[in-house]
Formats: sequence, C-alpha cells, structure tokens
Amino acid sequence: MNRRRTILAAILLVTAALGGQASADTPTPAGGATWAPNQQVNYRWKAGAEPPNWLRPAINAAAAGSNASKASQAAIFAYEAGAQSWIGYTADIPTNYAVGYAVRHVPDSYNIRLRPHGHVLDWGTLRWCQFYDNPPNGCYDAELITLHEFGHVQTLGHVDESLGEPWLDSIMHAGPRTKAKIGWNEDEFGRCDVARLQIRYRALTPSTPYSTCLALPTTLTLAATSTSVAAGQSVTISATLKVTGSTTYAKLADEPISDRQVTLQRRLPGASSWTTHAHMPATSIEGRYASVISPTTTYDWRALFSKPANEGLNGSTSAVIRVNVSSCVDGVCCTGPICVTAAEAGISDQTGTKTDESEGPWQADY
Amino acid sequence: MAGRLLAIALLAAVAACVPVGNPPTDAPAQSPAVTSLGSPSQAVPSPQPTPPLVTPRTTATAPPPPTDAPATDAPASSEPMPRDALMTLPDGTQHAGALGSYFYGGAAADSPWLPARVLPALEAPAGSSLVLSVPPLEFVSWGARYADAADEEADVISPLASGGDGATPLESATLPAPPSGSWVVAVQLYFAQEEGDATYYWHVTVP
Repeated sequence: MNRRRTILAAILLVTAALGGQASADTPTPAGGATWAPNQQVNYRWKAGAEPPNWLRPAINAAAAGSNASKASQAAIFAYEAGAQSWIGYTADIPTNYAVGYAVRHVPDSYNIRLRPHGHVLDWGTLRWCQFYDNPPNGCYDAELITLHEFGHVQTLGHVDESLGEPWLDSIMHAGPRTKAKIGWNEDEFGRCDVARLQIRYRALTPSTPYSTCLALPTTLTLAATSTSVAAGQSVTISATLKVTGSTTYAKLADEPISDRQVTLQRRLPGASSWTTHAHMPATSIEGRYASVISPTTTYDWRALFSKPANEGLNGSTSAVIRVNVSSCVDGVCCTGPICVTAAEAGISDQTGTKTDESEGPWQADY
Repeated sequence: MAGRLLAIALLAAVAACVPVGNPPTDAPAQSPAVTSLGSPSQAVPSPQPTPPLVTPRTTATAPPPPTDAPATDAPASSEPMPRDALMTLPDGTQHAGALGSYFYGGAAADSPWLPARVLPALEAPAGSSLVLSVPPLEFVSWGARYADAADEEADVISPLASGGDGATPLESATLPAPPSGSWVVAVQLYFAQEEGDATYYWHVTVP
C-alpha cells in the first residue's frame, strides 16, 4: 500500500508540474450574457448600506483598475450618484463564508456586496486592509476583492485551480488570498482574465495587444496594384493582417490587427531565401499595411508577420506575388524572354510610365 | 498539453489500481431532504438504500434556477446558488460539502480556503474511492485538491484528482481518498451548459 501511495504521490507531482506548464495559457472561464460593447454601467452606494469613507477609495480604484486593464470592449464602471447598479457594505451574503458577492442583471445593472469589517464568519473575523493605517498580515485587500467582483460582473468565473495556473495570471481565483501572500493586492486583471474578456468582448481597438494567454492564429494576405511593370515603375503592395476566420473564438474571427510590424520580403524567381525589403507602414484602414516599391527587376514578394513576444498572436506569412519588371529599349519591353512593344505593354515611354491599355506578350527573336 | 494529458492518463491508471471499497452502484435517484446545520457534524453510517445526509450549509433556502433575470434590491438569499454537493463513501453514507466560492446563474460569492474546523467531517477508508455528485445538476469537469487540516492558511495545497473533458455532462465523479492523515479536500466543479463553477469542502480523515 505504501508503495502504491508513493507512486500515486509521484504521479500527482508530475501532474501538478505538467499542469502548471500546460495550463499557463488557459483563459479564465466565463459564462452568461455579455454587456454591450463598452457599455457604461455605473454604480452608486446602496442606500442604508453605504461603504464607509475609508473603503470607498479602494472600491473606486477597483473600478478604475477594471477599466484600465480590461483591454477589451467589456463594460466600463464608475461611481455615479443615482446609478441603477449599487455597491453595498452589508452582511446580506448567502453563505457565512464569503467576503464578497456579486449579482449581475445584464443588460441593466449589477450589485456588489462587501462584508463589513469585523464581521465574524464561520472561519474567522473579516479584516479589510484599508481599515488600517498599517495593515496587518491576514487582512483582505478591498481593492482586489472589489476588482474580483467586477470581474464576475464582466461575466468572468473562477479559474480552474486544478490546472495549477500561475497565480498572477488571474485575479479570479476561487480562494482569495490575504496579505502578504503572492497576489494579495493585485490591482488589475491578470493576463488570462484579459484573454477571456477579449474573447467575449473583442479587443478594445484593432491596435490593442492581445493577451499573451492567447495564441490566436493570424492570416496575412497580399495584393499589388500591378504585377507587370516597367523597370522603376511604382507599385503599391498592400498586406492585410487579421485574426484567422476559423479561430475557435467566434467574436475574434476576421478581426483586423493594426499597428503591428509587418515585413515585406522579396527574392529572385527560383531563389529559396528571402531578404527583407522594408517594414510596411500601417495605413488608415484597420489591419492594412502598404509599401510602395519601384522594382528594377522581377521579384517574388511576400509579407511576413512574426509572432510577437509581447502578445498572443501567432505569426503568419502571405502568399507570394510576383511582380514582373520589363526592360524597354527602343519601344520594346522585355520581361525575360517575353517581349512586347511599349504600347502593347501599356508603357507610354522608355522611362516605364504605364499607360491604360496593354495586350498580350509576344516572343522576341533573339 | 500532450504532456499534461499523458500525466492525467497515468494518474487515472494509477487511481484505477487503488483498491476501492464498495462504491455505491445504486445511488439514490433523488437526494434525501437536505437538513440545515449551523456547525460541522459527523455522518453516521447506515445501511443503504437510505444513506444519511449531512450538510453544513448555513442557509436553508432552496436555490432558484440560474438566470440573469432582472432583480434590484432583492436579498441575496433569493439569488441563484449551486445545489449541495454530496460525497458518498463506500458504505453509502453521503456528506454534503460546505459551499465556498461559486459563480452560478448570474451570482457569485467569494470565500477563502475553508478551515477543517468549519467543515463536515468524514472518515474515508484508506485506498477507497469517493463519489461526488450534485444532484440533479451535471458537471463537465472537476478537480480535487487537498491540504493538511492543520494548515488553515492552506499554504501547501496538493492536487488529488481531476476529470471531465469540459463538454460531456457527468452526473458523478470518482476520486481517490487522500493519503493517511487529516485533510481538507476541496472539489471545484464546472457545471454543464456554462452555468458556472462551485467549490465544495470536506474535512476528510483517512486512517
């Protein structure tokens, strides 16, 4: 029996170790109807159960922390006298174990309850750190607990503790920590909380970085204003970067991704290696990047989006586009062995200015 | 992920090798009436098919169905909350767990790791299997952890077992008893249809 227990303990340890490694990218669970994008849902103090003055700054800081760190179109919170939603300082909480409680009534309102300082629960006496000038160990940070309740209001559930996810990846743990344990006073959502908010509400803007708790596939497409030009003639190459449409997160499918670093690369036809030509500047169109090139010889072109180290997007590479470059001499333009007249090539002169009309190529007599 | 799946598979294989008692095969289709107690208590084994039930829940209200339906200043006791979770021992006795943190039906409560002194106590035979259920609710995944009963701050929490694929509804789960000792066992459940999660606690002694 002891041997069995030893084996079991060893397996459990392995499981825990692997769990911690594998679960580092698990977005916080969530459920229920979501708020409208960026819906402002303000709160007041519950009449007859107003939080004391020493507690209110922590509550308001939690609202600000939610707004500042949500990185998504999740709901926005702020204090407003007369608001429909309320936050109360009350012992009216269903179990005699809980320190905080939240109820959401999407799309109209929510209520948050914080148990009063000094309340004797079954497990002990509740102490809020904000009550003290010098908070003792074992007190609860009201800002973190309120932020956690705002997380529930945003539809976040509790993290799966059996996965062994790093504690600081989320503030939505099933057992809040007291001072001075790791994570006892976090003041913003963890990266895997943000991931779920982005999944449920979309990123705040196309420029907003995606949480590193995600690994979203991306799609990069490439287009050129012309694929047959005279040497030196300008061509605009455009790349469009999006979250891949087949992603498991429906709301993120085909979302444009702006203000990232997209690289334009080229190679000679038949070559195997690519060289970087330029970083493609972002355009005014969301997810669109463009470069103007003036090639003097034929190249294959592609765009490259490398996986960023600081956000949860996977890299992608576009399909290849070949821009054929003609050399024109005495009114005849040749691209490799194929030659046409400048007029047929739609090139107005030997400097390579393209005209409106062109016809098919013809074989040169070399 | 593959490594984790492998580890889970190994764990399941080892758990399957742990000797079990007589897991109830005729668990009651309906739970006995829930009694409300204000303090931890002992379960008294009795013959099946009417296992005794002990619950530590400090509120006695029947939970309304989960909903995001409007409400304003209604008392918290009228809001949705998860059903009792039952731990069934090999002798058929059932013990309702203490409900800690939950996120369920639009309501959420947040409790710390609960100390053994406030929990329902049960004694599990060494090497036995425990059966968890939340009738009539189904769940899609679960994870059990345990800490020394004397460690009230739960500074050291160990994984015990986990299961469920996150999609297939389960009516019950079987987990191994922890090693010999006095432990707080916490089981976190994720309910079917994304209804939320709940964590239940027991004080489990294994001779």
